[in-house]
Amino acid sequence: MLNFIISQIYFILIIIFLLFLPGYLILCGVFKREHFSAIERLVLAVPISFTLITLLIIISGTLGMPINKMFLWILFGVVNIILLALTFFRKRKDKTKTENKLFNFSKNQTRLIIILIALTVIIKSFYLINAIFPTSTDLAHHMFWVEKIVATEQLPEYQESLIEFTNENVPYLTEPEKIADFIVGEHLIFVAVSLLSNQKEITAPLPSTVSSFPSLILLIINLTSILTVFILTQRLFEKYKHVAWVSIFVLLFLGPLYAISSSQAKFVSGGAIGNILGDLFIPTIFYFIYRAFAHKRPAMLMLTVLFGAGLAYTHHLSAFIFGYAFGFSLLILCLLQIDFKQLLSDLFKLRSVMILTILFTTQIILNYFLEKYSIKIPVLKIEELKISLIIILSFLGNIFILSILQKEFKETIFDWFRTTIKHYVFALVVLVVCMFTFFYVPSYLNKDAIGSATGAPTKSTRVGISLTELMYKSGEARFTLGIIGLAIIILITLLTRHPKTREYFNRISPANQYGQAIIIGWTVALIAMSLAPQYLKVNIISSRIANYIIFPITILSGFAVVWIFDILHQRRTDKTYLPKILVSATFTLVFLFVLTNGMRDNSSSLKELPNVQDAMQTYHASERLAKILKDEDLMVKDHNYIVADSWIKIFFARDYNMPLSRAYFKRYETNPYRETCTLKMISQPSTPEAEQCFENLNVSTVMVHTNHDASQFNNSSDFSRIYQNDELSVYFRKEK
Amino acid sequence: MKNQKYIIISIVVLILSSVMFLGIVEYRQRTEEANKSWWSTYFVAPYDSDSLNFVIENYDKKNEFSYEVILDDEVVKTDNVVVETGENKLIELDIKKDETKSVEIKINLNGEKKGKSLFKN
Repeated sequence: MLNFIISQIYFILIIIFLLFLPGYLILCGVFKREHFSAIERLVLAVPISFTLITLLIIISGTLGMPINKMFLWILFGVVNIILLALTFFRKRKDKTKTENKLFNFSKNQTRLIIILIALTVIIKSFYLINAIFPTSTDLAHHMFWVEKIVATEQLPEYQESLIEFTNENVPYLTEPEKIADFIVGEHLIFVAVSLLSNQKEITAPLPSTVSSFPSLILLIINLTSILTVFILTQRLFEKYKHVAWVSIFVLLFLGPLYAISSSQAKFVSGGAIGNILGDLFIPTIFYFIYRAFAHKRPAMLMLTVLFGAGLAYTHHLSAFIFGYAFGFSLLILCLLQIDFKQLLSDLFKLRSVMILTILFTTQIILNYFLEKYSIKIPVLKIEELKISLIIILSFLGNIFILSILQKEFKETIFDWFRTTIKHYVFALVVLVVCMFTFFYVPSYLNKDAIGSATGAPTKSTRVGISLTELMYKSGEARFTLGIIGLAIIILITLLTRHPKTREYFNRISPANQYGQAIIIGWTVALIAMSLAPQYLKVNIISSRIANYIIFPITILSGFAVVWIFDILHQRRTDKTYLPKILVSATFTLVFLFVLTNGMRDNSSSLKELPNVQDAMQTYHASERLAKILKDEDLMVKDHNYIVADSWIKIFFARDYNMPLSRAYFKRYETNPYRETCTLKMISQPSTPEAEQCFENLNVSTVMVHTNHDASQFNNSSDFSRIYQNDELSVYFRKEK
Repeated sequence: MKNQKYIIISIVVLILSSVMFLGIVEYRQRTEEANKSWWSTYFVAPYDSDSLNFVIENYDKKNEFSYEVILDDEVVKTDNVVVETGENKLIELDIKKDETKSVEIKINLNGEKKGKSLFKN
């Protein structure tokens, strides 16, 4: 045990070396002290470090460098030394000790924040006691690639062999085909930690990833994403006098309440790596976008571009969703620059009529040529839109183009380019695009993968979810308060546009135009994508998209609570607009509603005791078989009854699809085109169809749960039982 | 600034404590809980039709095993063997298996109702 504790301390030091130090040194070395508070530096160090590690390993791997322990020590050692030198140089140059006023909390607020963070960590840890032992399917799939990278010292080719049938209905295994579901950024941090912290020695004889370290890394990232939303809230509402309370309520709604639900601790133990990383990247990118434009800091925009690259190399779904959220935010920001009164009065002037005529004529000609030569635009999929919708969109688009030509709008755009969107930002964007296109292309960037995610929804699970379902996914209390917050922000934003109320509402508005655009755009985009994906050409499982609404709706819910009770309480005279007792009672009721809703969600999500013993027997059997099974022989195993069966492939370290797997029974029922070899080889091994599968696929070994599937093999003279433990039996098929 | 320091220290201490705690929990689950009460048995050379040597690997607290070798429904050998907890034992059988005959080895942990078996057809 002492040895393990020492190794765990070493693991923590490696985590700090990889996931904190580089990012922290960048913030200290590149930016002035006054640009970030201490809390912001602590929190943002993690996503910056993650992005840096991922991109550096991708570049090194593509250039042919071996991804092994020695190389990674040299690479990150040199990087950290350079950043340390930069930090010392900056510290000597920048002697200012300006305190950042935004993150100055009172004593009570500090105590509350610490209590909330403590509760968050404790609840998640309590849940993970029964879920930290690695058994989950998704985590196994990802860790296979981590082990592959460690073993081959190269960036992987994400591919698998599949069972197909010839025209004569003879089964065969295809040559390895590309898998679009895995992206390299999901795996490299685990590779780096595994190699540098000697996980292989710690977990021997099990593979290095069959341990707690992947889930612990995900836990750290999950906690960091909550803190990122905390600091993002502080920035978005920095104009608001009660911003500290808003962020405290956000911490309450995101931390201890709903701590275990999907996209939180459940995803940590379940190994939903891409989602967890996406949840870190999205608020971080919005944070830096806000800082770049609101405070006119081009260097922050460069970090935004790097994070965008990091996200694109890490999780395609999160990148896709961020794209829409960003697009909506940008649209709202542009709308906020338009003087609609001026636009209406200009609409019928000669200049406007001429511009609109040219635009419409161009679009009609373009449409004619697209139809004549049957050119289809893959992502936009205009051919799927109704003509009436095309006309409406064209009209709105043209009005928008016209509004951009307004003097004030042009001045705002020029100001953005003058102060923030500098030439070196463009250079970085070009560099990143080149990296994407020519250097290392993510596996999902192909016509088929993009085509399957865009366009009209093709399955019932992708046509959107109901409002009730969306509400339950985000937590009823959070969603309700969040919608109220959204309505308040939208109303205030509209009133800042009206000439008569502009001055007053600009003064009392809790957020500036950038904050308004981000929070409204982010929320509305996700509501639209979840409820009505067909109008946005989104063809992704709607319930997966709905998970992403939690962060923006939580920010709005925190804001709603504070804002409502602020306007009811007039501090100067210590009077309330309503009787004090009514205000207090309402506050208590709302608080209890949120508290019980969040805690009930936690209690319903708690796991039973883990099947550690069963999983260990699966690993034991796998370890034995991996040593004795010949390279040319394949194995088939069952996914329905064997615990932690997805981890078996890590022991064999061959193809992603080896061993072959009998999937959940319902998958064969719902998909008539699915191969049935894997079903028959286990369920009916003595039938002619099964025998054909065994012969043609070269499957010699079968692993099943003894209680459920042993009888059909015990009664067959073609099989020998070569291994048995309390749970599993392994059979070897005689050669015929 | 002082209050920010308290928050930062709390965050760092809480997260690192959680990581350490969960790491130890998983280690104990893997090394102690998992190996409470199961055992396995397997052929040393499963592909070799002549060899019937097998291994008993014991993670149960009990350690007394018995086995019998059945060649085409005829019991040809029985024996007892002790395998300590956490150890594995190779049992070598000098019985030659005829290709036309099937052989079954039944292994029981004393005190357990249900045993295990290996067989070669």
